[in-house]
This record gives sequence, C-alpha cells and structure tokens, in this order.
Amino acid sequence: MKSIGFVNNLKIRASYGFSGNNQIGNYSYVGLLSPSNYVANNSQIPGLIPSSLSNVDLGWEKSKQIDIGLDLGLFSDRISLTFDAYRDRKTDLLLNVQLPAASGFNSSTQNIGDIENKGIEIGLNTLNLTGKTFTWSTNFTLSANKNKVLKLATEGGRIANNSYQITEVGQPISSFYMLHAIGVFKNSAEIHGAALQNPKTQAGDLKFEDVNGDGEITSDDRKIVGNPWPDYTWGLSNSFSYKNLSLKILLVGSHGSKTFLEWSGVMNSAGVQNQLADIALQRWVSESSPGAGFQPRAIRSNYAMSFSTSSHFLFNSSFVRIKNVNLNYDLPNNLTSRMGLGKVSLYLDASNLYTFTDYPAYDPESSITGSNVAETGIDYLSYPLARTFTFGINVSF
Amino acid sequence: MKKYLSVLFALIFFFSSCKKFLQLEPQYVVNTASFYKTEQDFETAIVGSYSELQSLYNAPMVYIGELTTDNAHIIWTSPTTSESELDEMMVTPSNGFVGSVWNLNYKIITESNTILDNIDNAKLRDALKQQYKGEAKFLRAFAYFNLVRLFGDLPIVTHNFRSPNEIQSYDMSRKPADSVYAIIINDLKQASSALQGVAGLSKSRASVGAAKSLLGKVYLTIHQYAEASAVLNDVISGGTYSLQTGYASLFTNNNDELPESIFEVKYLSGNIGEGNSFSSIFTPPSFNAAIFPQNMNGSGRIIPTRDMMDAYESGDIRRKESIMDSLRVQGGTYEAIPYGLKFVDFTVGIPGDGGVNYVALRYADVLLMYAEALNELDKTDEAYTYINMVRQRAGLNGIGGLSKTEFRLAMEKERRVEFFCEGSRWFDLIRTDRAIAVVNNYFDANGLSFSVTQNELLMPIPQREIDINPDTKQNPGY
Repeated sequence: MKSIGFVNNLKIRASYGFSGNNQIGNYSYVGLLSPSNYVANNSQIPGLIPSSLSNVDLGWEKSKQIDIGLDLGLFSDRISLTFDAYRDRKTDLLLNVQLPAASGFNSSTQNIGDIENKGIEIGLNTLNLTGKTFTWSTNFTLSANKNKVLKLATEGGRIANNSYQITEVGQPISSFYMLHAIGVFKNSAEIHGAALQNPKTQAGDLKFEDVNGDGEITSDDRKIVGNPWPDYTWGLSNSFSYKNLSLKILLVGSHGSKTFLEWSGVMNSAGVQNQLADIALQRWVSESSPGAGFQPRAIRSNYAMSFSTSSHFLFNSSFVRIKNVNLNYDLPNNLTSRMGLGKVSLYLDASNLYTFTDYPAYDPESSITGSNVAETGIDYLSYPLARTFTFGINVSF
Repeated sequence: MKKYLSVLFALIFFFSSCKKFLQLEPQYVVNTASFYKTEQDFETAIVGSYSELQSLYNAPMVYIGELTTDNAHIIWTSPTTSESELDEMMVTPSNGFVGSVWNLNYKIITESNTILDNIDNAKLRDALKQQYKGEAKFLRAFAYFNLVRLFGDLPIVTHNFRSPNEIQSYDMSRKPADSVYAIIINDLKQASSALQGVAGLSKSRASVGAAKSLLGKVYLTIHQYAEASAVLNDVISGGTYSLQTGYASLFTNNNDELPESIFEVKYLSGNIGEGNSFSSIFTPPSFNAAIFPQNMNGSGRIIPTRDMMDAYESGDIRRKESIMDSLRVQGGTYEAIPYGLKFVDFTVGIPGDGGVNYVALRYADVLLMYAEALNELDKTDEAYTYINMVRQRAGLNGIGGLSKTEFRLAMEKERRVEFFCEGSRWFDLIRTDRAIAVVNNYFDANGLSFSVTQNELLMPIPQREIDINPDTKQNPGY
C-alpha cells in the first residue's frame, strides 16, 4: 500500500458490546416495610408499614452498543481527529414509575421497555503553533445524542415519570408533558371568547394553549413541550505558552435542553415568599402596565393555574460557560537552582468564571436527581455553582 | 439400567429444587414476603397503620375541618398557598393538604388491605385473628369515610397489590360514592362484631364502641336517620362511656383513656418523633409571646375568628376553656390576640413536640349525633335530653319547645362551640347542607370577597393523580 505523506495515522475501529445494568438499589424486587412508630402507655412502640411494592418480574436492563470510529493523524499529529458514531439500544429499561396513590405506593422501579440512543462524538486536537518560545494548541470535542423510546410495556405506550414528565413511544425519554403557557392575558378584551382555566380568570392571568380545542383549559390540554436532553454539547480548550508563562482556557457549551424550574414558591408573585426580582418585576400589574407578557399578576390562590405545572416554569437551559482559566508561570531554572529548589511555579486558576445563558435561575446545569434519567431536568432550589479563584505555588525539590 | 434411572431421578430432583434453593429472601431487611406470619408481625403492622393517624390529624384534617369555615382564620402574614387557599375557600388541585389527606387515607386503606389479605394464612390464635381483622376493617372504613366526604366518588381498592402489573391492570377510575359507603358500612358492621369480646385494649385502638359511633356518623352523613339513631342508641345504652366532668381535661396533657373518649390519636412529647404541632398551629405567631417554655412562638395558622368567639352563649364554660382572649407577652403584659387552647401542650417549648392526644371520637359527639337523628325523625321531644346533657356539662340551661327547623339551628350552634378546633365544622356544615349559606354569610359580614360555591362542597382530586392516571376524572369546577 502506497503511503500518503501527510497522513501519519489512520485507523478505523468498529465494536459491538452487550452489557447489563443493575443500578437499582438492593431488594427492589421485594416489598419492603419501614418503621412507623406509635405510642402506647406513654412510651414509643414499634410499628411497620409497607414502604415499597414488590416486583418479582424485575430484572437487568440490557444494553447493546455498536460503535464505528475513525482515528486520523495528519502532518505528524499536528492535527489529530477522532470520530465515533454509535447506537445503543437498551432493552428492559429500568425506570422509576409513578403509581396512583390509591395503590398505596408512590412509585416503583420497573423494566418498562426499549430505548435507543444514537449519536456522534468528535474530538479534534490541533497544534496550531509549535515555535520555540510560543506554542498554541486547541482541543475541541463535540457530542450529539438523540434518544427515542421504542417500546413500552404499558398500555397506551405512555408512563408518567412524575408530575412533569412522561415517557412515550416515539419521543425522547422523560419529555416534559404539561399545559402550554402561551403568555398572559393583557386585558379583559383578550379574555372574551378565550379558552379559560377558570370562569374567574381575569386580565393578568396566564393564557394556555387549548390543545384539544374544547374551549376550556383542563389537564386534557397537556402536551409535550420539550425535553431535558441537549441536542449537542461541546468543549473547547486552548492552551498558549510563551516562554515560562502558560495560559489555558476551557469553554463548554450545551444547547437545546430544557429545565423545569420547580420553584413555583419563588416565582409565583404571591408575595408570601422571597421572589426572583428579575421575574417578579416583569409581572402583569394592570392593563396599562402589562409587564413583559410572561409573568402573571400577583395572587395568592391558584385558581388561574399560575403556580400549576405548566411550561411557564420551563426554560431553555442552553448555555456557554467559561469553565476554567489557568495562568501559570514557571520560575526560571537558574533562579530556582540557586535557591536549592527543583521547579517552582506560580499559578492563578479561575473556575466557572462566567456563564452565558438565558436561564433565569442559578445554574442551567442543575438537576435535582443527578443521574436518574426519569427525573432529569428538574431544578429544585439547587445551589448556584461556586465561582472559585485559586492562587497557588507549586514547589518541587 | 435401574441404577441409571435412579441417578437420573436424583438429578431431576436436584435441579428442580435448585431454583427454590437459590431464591432466598433477604433475612436482614423486613419484607412483605417474610412478614405477616406471626402474632407479633400483625401487632406491629396494625400499630404502624394507627400511627398514620398522627400525620393525618397533626395538620391536614384539622386544617380542612376548621380553616375552610367561619371558625378560624390565619393570622400569620405569610401563609403558604395551600393554607391561604383553605382560608379563602379557593382550593385548587395542587393544594398540599388535600394531597396529604388523599395519600394518607389511601395508605391506611392499603395497610388494612394487606393485613386482611395475609391474616387468613397466618398462624394466629383465632381470637387475635378476629381482633386484627376488626381493627383493620375499622381503619379502612375510617379512611374511606374521610375520603368520600371530601372527594365524593373514589377509586375503590379492597385488596393489596403485589406487583406493578396488578396495579396497571386494575380499574382505578372513580366509583360512585354510594358504593364507597356500602363498603364503609359493611366494614364497620363486621368490625363491631369482630371486636366483640376484645377487652383491655387502649382507646387508641378500634373497639365496638368506636365502630358503632363511627357507623352512626356515617348513617347521619348519608341521612339514614333510623339506622343512625339505632346504632347510636346502642352506644349510649351500652353505658361504656360518660361525659367528662371537666371539659378542659379532654384537651390538655394526660388526656389518655378518659371516660368520654371513644377513639383517640396518641401523641407523646420527648423529641422522639411522636409529638404534634397543635401548639404551634393554634397559637399566635408573635415573637414576644410568653406562653410556652423557652418562649416558643406559635405560628397563627388556626386562630378563632371574632364570629367564633361570639358564638358562645354567656355563661358557657367552653368559651374560656377553648379560647384565650389575649396573649401573654414577655414583660408580663398582654396583647389582644385570641388563640385556641385545645390540644395545645403548654409544657413543651419545642415546635412539633406536643404531647396532648387528639380525641377523634367522643361521647358528647355520640349524644349530639343521636339528638340530631331523633330530630330528623320528628322525635324532637326525645332529642332534648341528649343535647341538654352536653349543654349542662357546659354550665348552660337546657333548651326545649323548638320546632324541627329551630332545633337544627340550635344543634348547628351547639356542635360548633362543643367541637371548635376538633376539625368537625366543615363536615358538619356539609352534612347539613349549610356550608354555602353559613360560610358565605361569614365572608360577607366580614367584608371578605371570598365565597363557597356548590361545586366546592367537594374538594378537588389532587392534580398528581390526574396527571399520572388519565382515567381519574376531576370533580366539576376545578
């Protein structure tokens, strides 16, 4: 095979794997009991109540992955690229499913169906400048993933994960399913003839989409209004060095995800709790001062569904973040050796320096349930991400 | 050949038993497969179920029973949405108290179902089997009765579920209230016969008297007055209970096992998770209050209205034993803020650690219910005896010579002052179809722009239930 001069590495990879996932906690298949103590003769006595539902059919989640990849190195690795395309088909997906309270239980872990993830991952490394005194290298990663539910064990092909999210065949897992808020009634003329959530609805209350067109707003008007999964995420890292000084800047970004702000308490303008000023100040106040058309008037009751689950609290959580900036200075060798030291460097490091986002709460990356896919994308009063500045000295002998 | 066959059989025997041999139940976690076997298991299970009543009465049932009516209002300036919705009678499907009542009562129902489904196969003495069955049926009826009065039609579940598939294939749609009442009545009848002969149990446990008194309340609620009067008369003529001499002693520390008490919910202070929040709910939110140890302050959630304070006749001892007119503050002076005294534990300075029991059913209720049934049966003359027993204990003269309608109003007032803060008012007004007139009249008279409408006589089904099961239909108007 004739060698191509500028290509120094070319590799095509393919892999197929089959794996299982049993991350479901111990004893999820048996019905457990938990203490519920009571009182007799002025002392505490033990009581036990069923706390979880048994599920003898519970089994492993299986995952079949196929991956095709390409590694490419050009110009003596001045440019190196890795590219992967994958498909991961999970069967017997484990999901925590909500149950009607009349069953006596809140939820149970079940094998609910099949789901497919497919996507691409790209990594690009370039050494842009490799001079004696000045170097510059760039590392870029991009990943895009699409997720789709293929099959569900339940009737109707739909499962309620929680009050905000459903899992439905043909849709991404944990899609947000709720009333679609389309603004605020600016004046009483707009109310006239509109589909209303309550006969008492007045100007300043939220306006919802009448999905089934029956002239009133009920829970039958819920629809899928987005999902918590980003279309793509990326990272870009640039490293510069000039003589003894080096600078590294890492940017990360995520685009296309939505997050439900489960903060109705601080967003409801009811005046009973602290409010997010940015939002409360934009509320509808009167017909002559209708605000920004997003936040409804301040009332204490919920008959106009201002605090009910709706897309009013669903926000685009795309962001670009300056994740890390690191500036480093190595003291000259002749200086350090005179002091009897090996290597001395001073550095200044800043993490989470700035986030560019339209997301109104603290952190567009927040999600209360961590890696639980059934409840990803819910922000419940999570702490803001700390911005950290570190100054340090590294000394080696 | 014979040798080979026996080896083969041995192998078949060995491998077929393998599955059972490998499937072990975990021994150090309590699970439903290994539990519900012994007498001790069932005792622990029934105790666990009674303990749900602590949560049910600690807030939700008392909030709904009082705050919705002319009895009480919130004086804390920053109530939660769920609290102001009850106070302003503008309850929505997202209301937290309504959600708790739904969840807790269905938990009790599930716990009863689980006990009833497992007890026949367990090795228990027959007498104990009867007792636990009676107790489970009483609790199941108690829970369904709470639910059916608040929500009307209900999903009916009378067996426990053992897998998600069983729940999935079960019809969870709401069934007519009449079918719920049929279950309640049947359960209470069976409970009262099963509990016959059971002696020595605390009043925190079901008894014949408790089952019959509750059954009387059920019949009264569905306006079956002949049945109500018969069963309530049973309780009275049984002679088990009597009116307490000191009214206040029913609602203060050490109100255990009193002669008037028929069924009580136990609480215990000591910061071990068995206390109640009544001290905080019923007293003012003033930071300078000096009525509790460590000057703990209340939270002002259920505070008597002026209308309530004026409802007592002069000379009624229940007035000063139920309501304090002013609040003692630090420095020894008083502020003109009234508050309720019942169930408040003035000996404890830790929020949520009150040790006064909640009396869920008591003899005065039986007497007044019996009088109400008699009046509805046009036996007003006979009814006076019973209403007057309660009035006399309160230091009041007997009443007499009223028409049937006048008697109803006298009864409405009597129950209001007798059971203030006991979570009874809303249910009384619903039963007598007076909620709209009485509560709206109170709102109007006090210049409040709130109102109760016909559809609001039933509470909304919690939104969560409708969200996860579209077969559950909402009550009209919500």
